[in-house]
Amino acid sequence: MCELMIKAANVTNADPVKDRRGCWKRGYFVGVKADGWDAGPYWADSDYPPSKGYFVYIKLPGVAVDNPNVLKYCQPQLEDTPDADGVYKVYRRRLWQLRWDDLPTPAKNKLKNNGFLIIKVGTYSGSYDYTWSQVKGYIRNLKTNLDEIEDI
Amino acid sequence: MGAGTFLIDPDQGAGHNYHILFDWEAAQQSNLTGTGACIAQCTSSSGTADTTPVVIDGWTTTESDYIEIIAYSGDEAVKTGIDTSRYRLHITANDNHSIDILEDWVHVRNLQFKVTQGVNTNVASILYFESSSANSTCKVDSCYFQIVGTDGSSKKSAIGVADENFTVKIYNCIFYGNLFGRFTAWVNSGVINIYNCSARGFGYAANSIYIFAGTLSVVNTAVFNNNTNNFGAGVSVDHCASDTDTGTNNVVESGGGADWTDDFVDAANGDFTLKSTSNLVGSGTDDPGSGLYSDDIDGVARTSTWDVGADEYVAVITTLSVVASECE
Repeated sequence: MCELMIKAANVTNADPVKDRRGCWKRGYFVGVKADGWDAGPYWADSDYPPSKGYFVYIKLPGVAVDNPNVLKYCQPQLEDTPDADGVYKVYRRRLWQLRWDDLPTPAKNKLKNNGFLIIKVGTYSGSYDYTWSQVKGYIRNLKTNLDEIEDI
Repeated sequence: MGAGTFLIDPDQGAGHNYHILFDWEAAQQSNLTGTGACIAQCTSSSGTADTTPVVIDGWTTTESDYIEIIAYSGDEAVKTGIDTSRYRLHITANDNHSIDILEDWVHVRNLQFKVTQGVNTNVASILYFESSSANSTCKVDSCYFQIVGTDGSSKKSAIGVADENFTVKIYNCIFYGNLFGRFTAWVNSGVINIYNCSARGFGYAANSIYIFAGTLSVVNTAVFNNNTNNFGAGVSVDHCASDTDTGTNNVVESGGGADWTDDFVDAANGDFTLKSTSNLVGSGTDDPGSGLYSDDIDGVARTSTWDVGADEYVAVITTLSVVASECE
């Protein structure tokens, strides 16, 4: 299993370029954590539990932590053209964003109150909150402004 | 959120706030104005490396409300090489800066950095001071930088500065490469001041310390065994030791071949401890940073006349114990 760690609060900057390029927005995918990452004895006292207000999680049972179809959500949006060194600089901190405010109220409440959603992907047969097919339409590509249609 | 001190530990030991530095930045990013500094203390309680590149961007900082990334007590960089029992940011992902800094007033202290690169990678630096919105001074103090490239296509440098608003002061740092790193330090806009550093094994198809544009000065620093030249045109060099004897008040190395074995214990293998007989001992100039620092990479107080390099030689003092009965 892996878990997508999601920024839970908006950060804003008075500089519009820094705001777009650098600020973490609610619903941005921060990283992917492997199964058991929260099993350590000191995790509960860290800043990771949802109750601390920094992050919430989408749990994907049966999905590998290095699955490229998951990792892509943690990539920045890059400039369309490279700089003089051939490097594509970051245009926006993240290319994909969970449309938090547009989630159905029960899902939004569950994310707010529990701090995570369990999503059924593929042949997973355990308990879950929603299926990937139900969730993916709330994940938006900020460059194309289109919602996700691909499966994991 | 924001000001305060936060513990980063990839081994998730007692008291940790975050597993990796990247997560700290994502959680604590904020407007620090009027709130004080945000300090990330880095430790590896069981020796696991942090391997995720970090971008620092989107914050608001001031001179007194700054960002500091510092080693936790006991995890400080040492002059003898990368200590794998201590925290280190070790990046193997191609094409990434280790820490991409697009923020004012960011200080980095006592940390170990290592980059291991494959072939045909893009240009990148361990610390890349990329964008600043206001005049700010950033400090890089007592860090150890190591670059291990595969060949000349690795294209990695230690420190780069590319914004006219930055002044970056680098002191008591060690730069250790395997001859496939590009620049020890380069500036394309802005100012770099280097004091009391030791640099060996960079400069592949490039000058080790180089100005594209901007200003760069080097004082009390040992620069040697680089692949091409030690210094590019326009670099101000004073009280330095180099195998090209560059600059004013240049200090002549003691000898020992390309790796100056008469000056350092084992620079070829990353140990930049000064030898007692080295010409670098007592050959620098005192307080070149005008109060910026007064110690060396180990925290040892520097004494007049200051040495050249990141290490200040300390004479071994032998204490004799005299037992009263033996004097009778």
